[in-house]
Amino acid sequence: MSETDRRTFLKQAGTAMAAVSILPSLAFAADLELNKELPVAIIGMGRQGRAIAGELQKIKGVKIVGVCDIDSGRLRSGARRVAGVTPYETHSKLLAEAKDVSAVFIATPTHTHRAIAEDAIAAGKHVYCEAPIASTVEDCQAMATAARNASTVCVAGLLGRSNPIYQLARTFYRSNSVRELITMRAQANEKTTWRNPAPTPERERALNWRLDPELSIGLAGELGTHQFDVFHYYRDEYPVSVTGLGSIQLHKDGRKVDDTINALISYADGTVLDYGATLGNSHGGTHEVFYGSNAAIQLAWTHGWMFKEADAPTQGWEVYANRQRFHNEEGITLIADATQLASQGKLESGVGLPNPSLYYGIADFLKSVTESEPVVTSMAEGARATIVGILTNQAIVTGQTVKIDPAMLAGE
Amino acid sequence: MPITLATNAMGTRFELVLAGAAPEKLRPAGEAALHEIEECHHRFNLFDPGSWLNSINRRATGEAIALDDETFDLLTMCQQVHEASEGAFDVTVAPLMQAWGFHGNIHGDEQAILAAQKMVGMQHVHLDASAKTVRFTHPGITLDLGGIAKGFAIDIAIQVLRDCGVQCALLHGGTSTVAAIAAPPDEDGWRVTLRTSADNSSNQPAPVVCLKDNAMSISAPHGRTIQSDGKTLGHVLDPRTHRPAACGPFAAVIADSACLTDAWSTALLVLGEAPQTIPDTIHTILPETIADTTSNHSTPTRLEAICR
Repeated sequence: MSETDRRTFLKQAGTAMAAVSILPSLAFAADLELNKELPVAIIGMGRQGRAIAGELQKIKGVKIVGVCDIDSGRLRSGARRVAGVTPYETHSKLLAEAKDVSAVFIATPTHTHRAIAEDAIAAGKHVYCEAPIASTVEDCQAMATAARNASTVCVAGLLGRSNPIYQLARTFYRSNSVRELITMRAQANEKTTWRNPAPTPERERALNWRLDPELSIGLAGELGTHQFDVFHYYRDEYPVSVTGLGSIQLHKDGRKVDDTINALISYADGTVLDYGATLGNSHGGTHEVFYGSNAAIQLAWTHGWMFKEADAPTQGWEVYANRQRFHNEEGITLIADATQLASQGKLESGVGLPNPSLYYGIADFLKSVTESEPVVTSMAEGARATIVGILTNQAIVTGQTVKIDPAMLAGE
Repeated sequence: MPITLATNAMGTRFELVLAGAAPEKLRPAGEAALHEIEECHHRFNLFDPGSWLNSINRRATGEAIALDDETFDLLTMCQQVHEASEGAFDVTVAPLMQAWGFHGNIHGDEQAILAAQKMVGMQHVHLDASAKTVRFTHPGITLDLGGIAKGFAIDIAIQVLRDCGVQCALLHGGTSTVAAIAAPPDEDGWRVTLRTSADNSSNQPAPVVCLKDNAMSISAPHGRTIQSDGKTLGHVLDPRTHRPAACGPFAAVIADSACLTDAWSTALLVLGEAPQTIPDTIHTILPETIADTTSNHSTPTRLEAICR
């Protein structure tokens, strides 16, 4: 065997060994095709509703038959992005008239989710509800209860649990690769006003609910919820208290909702998640980091990396893994389809996910609906992550340490 | 006080200048407009396996794919420009671009180019206007909207700005396509300089175009090049000959729609002159136009007159 052949063999064998143990299925790499046509509808045609429509269009077998938005402009432009769809002005009208709809996707303002989800469940629809699932603890718990009692599939749109890279990295986290968890950090950095242009002063409050202190659950609730669930997913446990601070650093336009926050979210074992979010700078984007005694795992939704400590034992396969330089460190790229890429000689290219996280969350929901696959992200997990987000926002707004009562997070 | 916003999309930088209202009113509108550009990037990116365009490319051979109104309108426009430009604009050239090494890959051999030729041709893209579907009638067809998507995105963004009540704006994508809403305060239009050579060595004054409620694109063969048989070839392929085009130094187009200017500037670079079938609403600026105007006028006034 030549040196080149040997290296290729070792590379493929090494990644195959790692991949066999960590990734039992490569199904995520192929386009999803449903085994039967599924008529669906989207309620809320803002950015997230349109993003959902975009991913649904790629899935063979899905037929978007209805879209809905109370804002006529959004409804009109949203309907232009969906093939052969009927627009509806209210969700009630959609549920009453579009009888053939099997599943609905709820992408309306957070504080409106509960009423729409309960109506949809009552109408016998499968429900995919965007996260955060609600803006009050009471609503979160009510939605979890409604989902538990429903005869249909009800899921929360938290995407970490469906993301193949996050699934892959979780196997590392739960093996000896990270070893003892030392600490955690996460951030959601964007540069945006978070303000929607409103055609009239009357529409201002409705469109800018995220900036309305009476309705908004702030950056911690709206952005943090998705990330807090990643830590719940990896650890299988929930935090016990939170403290935080917030301020308006950039967008001094009269708003009352902070544009920059920092929070410390504590777990029972003494570990802490250091969370930061801002609307003033996008550096580093959105990511989560687990720091262990052997390695750190950094996750950034379409990509994931592992940074090994110098004294961590070598496991073999990582010698041949794809690497990327980060300042003065070298990260091992956690490539979800490593085996397939290695067989094609493309491992060095270090590609990320072929689809956005949203695609995998939607795909898991559709498989639960059409193939009776187990629910990946239950409404109960959605409620728990959202409640942590709400309480984190509460800690930031009040400046008080907030205890997270385990009873508040109970329920399947 | 004007404000500026920017985003990176479609392999380039889009910049937006907004004026005529308070910054706190303009900025959310600008963000909404740039978000539309980012959405277009995600939907129509040939190099993103998860894009809507690649979903169409993977599935449209053998089955009719239902299209949304926007995508159907875009592909219809591609077909119309293809026909009016006598084949000089063609969104199916991706396999040939790949074979010639213009996608950053290694330049293929003659056999690879011959094989790619068989996978090119708008006649293999069947649009059904009544069902609003697309179907490829030949295997290997790949839509590449790189020659029109930037303009398409800018048109959508400009419409969003208008819907938001913005009364004064300039938006460009990679400095090759630009669109304007009205004119800056106390001006008769947005003055845009046409950079007509890659090396800036010309002693002639750069022509200036005055834009007001219209759009302009400029295409030039500089930028990406490949080496073939000792020659440097520009990145524009002539879909009619299946070879890099023997094009002039640039072609610029002014029209009401950035989508049209984007597509037509590419077509005219390949053609070298405006075909008789070009719509009346398309105004062209070709090297001879510049030579003509600069020899007779020391100022760009003539070009401004061409614009409107």
